[in-house]
Amino acid sequence: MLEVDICHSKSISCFKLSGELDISVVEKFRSNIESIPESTTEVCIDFFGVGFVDSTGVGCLVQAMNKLREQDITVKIKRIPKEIYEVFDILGIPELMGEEYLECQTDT
Amino acid sequence: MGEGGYIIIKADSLEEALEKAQVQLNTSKAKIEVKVVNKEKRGFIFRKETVTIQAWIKEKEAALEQLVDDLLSDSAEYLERVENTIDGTIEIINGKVVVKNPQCGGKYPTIEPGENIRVIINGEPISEATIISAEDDVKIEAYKQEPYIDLDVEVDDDKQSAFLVVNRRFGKECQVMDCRPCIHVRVRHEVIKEVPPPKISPREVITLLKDKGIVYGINESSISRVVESNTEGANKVLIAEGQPPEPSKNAAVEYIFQKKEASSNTSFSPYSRNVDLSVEVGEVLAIKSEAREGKAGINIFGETIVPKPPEDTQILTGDGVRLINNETVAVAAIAGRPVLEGRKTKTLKVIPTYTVTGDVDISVGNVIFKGDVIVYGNVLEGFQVVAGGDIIVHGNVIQAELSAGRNITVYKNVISSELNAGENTLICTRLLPYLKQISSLIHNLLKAMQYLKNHNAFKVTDLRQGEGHLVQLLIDTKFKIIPKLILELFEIINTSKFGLLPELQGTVAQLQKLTGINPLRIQKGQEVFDIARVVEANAQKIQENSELDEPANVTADYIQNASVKASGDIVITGRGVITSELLAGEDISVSSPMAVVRGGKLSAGGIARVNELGSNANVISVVRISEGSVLEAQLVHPAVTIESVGGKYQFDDLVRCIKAYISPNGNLEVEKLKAK
Repeated sequence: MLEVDICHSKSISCFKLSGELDISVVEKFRSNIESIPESTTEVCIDFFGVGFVDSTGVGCLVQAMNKLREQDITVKIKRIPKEIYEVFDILGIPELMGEEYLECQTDT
Repeated sequence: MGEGGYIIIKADSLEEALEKAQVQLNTSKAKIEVKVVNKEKRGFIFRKETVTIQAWIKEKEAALEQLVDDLLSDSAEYLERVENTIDGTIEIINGKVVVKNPQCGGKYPTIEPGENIRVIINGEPISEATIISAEDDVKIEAYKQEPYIDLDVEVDDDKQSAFLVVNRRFGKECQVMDCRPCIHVRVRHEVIKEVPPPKISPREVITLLKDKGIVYGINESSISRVVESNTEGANKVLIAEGQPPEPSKNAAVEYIFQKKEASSNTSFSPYSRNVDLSVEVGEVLAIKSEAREGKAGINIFGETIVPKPPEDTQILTGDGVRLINNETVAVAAIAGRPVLEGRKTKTLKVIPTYTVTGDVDISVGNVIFKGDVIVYGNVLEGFQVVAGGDIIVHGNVIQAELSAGRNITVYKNVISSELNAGENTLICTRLLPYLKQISSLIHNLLKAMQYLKNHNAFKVTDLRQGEGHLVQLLIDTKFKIIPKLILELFEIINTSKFGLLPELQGTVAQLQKLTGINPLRIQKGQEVFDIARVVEANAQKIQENSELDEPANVTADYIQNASVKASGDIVITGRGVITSELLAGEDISVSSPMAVVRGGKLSAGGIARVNELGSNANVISVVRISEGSVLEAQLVHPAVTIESVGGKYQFDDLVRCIKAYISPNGNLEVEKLKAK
């Protein structure tokens, strides 16, 4: 299950995810991302509540990021749990997307 | 009338004499009997006859002497008399002869023995027609013919077969055929009984064969057949047959390459006339069939016949041929053209070089040869020379194509042509780094897969449908370079003139699985591992091969608008290279004092030494250097570009003595001295 809290401001759209980003929820996630207002120039995805990912989920995220970037929208992923970040790292996503757009949650 | 009751009259003719006799005897002609005593003829031209006759008055009514008179008398009168005569007859009744004497001056009958008949008159046997009268004692009888049989054995000259010749004649019992009364009788016989000859017993035949010494191969059934049959005439039957010897088989040499030569002359194309046969090392040229001793036979006399001993023969070999397998098989020891020399005694040789004394043109056709090829003239438009060894052209190569397994040497110019020396090796060496890189990347990918699957935060539920999703994700993200490298590798293979090398086929099929969206089809990680294994094995093999293959070099005087590939060095001895593409596995040398490289593209695996590079007309010339290769040029014009994995460098000014290479940290370094 995945819950998505959406908060649109003038130019920034925030998605707060909680649950699992897997094959069962990719459609929901995709439609949410696609429904951002036209004025949006930056998308911020909060991964704080994400416990698990699978290959389909990550594939969908990468696709969505690529699509948004084509529209000149900056995508930032914040507060990625350490475990999830490891998965991203293995998949080479930080290199692909740029490390500065992925923020790993620090244990504080 | 004189003494004896007759008169003698002499006259000039018989008629005159008769007239005189008639007058003197005073009687009619019919009543006179005459006998001609003498007839004389005198003179040559006017023949005069003198006839002397005796004449007397007839006593008997019909006398034999009258006949003579009749002949001389009037024919009408004679006929009148014949009508009244009765001739004598002979009749045969029940084998007995009944003779009747003639009447009134008729004729006496005659008798003649026919076939198988004996006629005895008065105790004397006769053989021809004989006049008889009723007073004669005539006996006739028919001969009896005894049956006859003759056995003989005929033997063929080769003493291999014997024939029994049986000659049978049936015996005949005859009797005299009855006959109506007639004046002339030929006594005939009639057969009343045929008597067959006695049967032969098989024992008789066998004894006869034994007497003749025939002991072997006697056919019992033929004997019984001969014995059974009982027909008249000659009968010849095969009765004994020997066992002929099986002849020995002489050793013979079969020249296999000649057969090939004959069969290859089928299609006709003006560019491929006179397909010259060439063989590779180890190819079988001739096979000697072993001499075989024949089997001894036996003739009908029981003598053993030993066949002629077989004749042995040798495969005579000259240079380039080796005999193996107990000298029964000749194989090519070198690649080249097999020839059979000599008129009577043939010597097998392999000539390593194919020589074209003039130009390679329509009269020669394309030259495709497994050994070396030497062309003393030019290679002209549209023709192709393919050699397994070296190609040496003493003239020019114009719009042609040369492919050699080893070195290519052109003493004059290469214009608008394509030269490949050891291209396969070249391609393989180019492919090798790709294959190595791809296989190591696949291993990393597999490691990443394994790691992810074991990761706490990574769910694997969706992988139950197939691990392809994960493979695709990894290839889309971290291993984006894999499909890129694969496509580059395919590109290299596709540009090869020889097409896909057989040993690469497996690799190509496997690597295709990792391009496009094909990874999604992968079910298990094991499949990816298999791909890596195939690629690794292939890389290993190529490396081994390239270590074995000697690099092939190309040497030419001058090259223009051509493409030259060599797995070894490319050496230009003359004025240089104009708008051509040079690709060398090792060094390129265009370093004679006047030599220039204008336009085109150079790529050397080793050191490229160029005297003058580019031109003052800013022609774009590209030199590609890779890791380990170095460019050394005495003079470089602007618009010359150096390409490498470590970057690109374009010259803006005229420079002298440059040296370009890739530094250990992977950057392109260009050391130069500016022109003054």
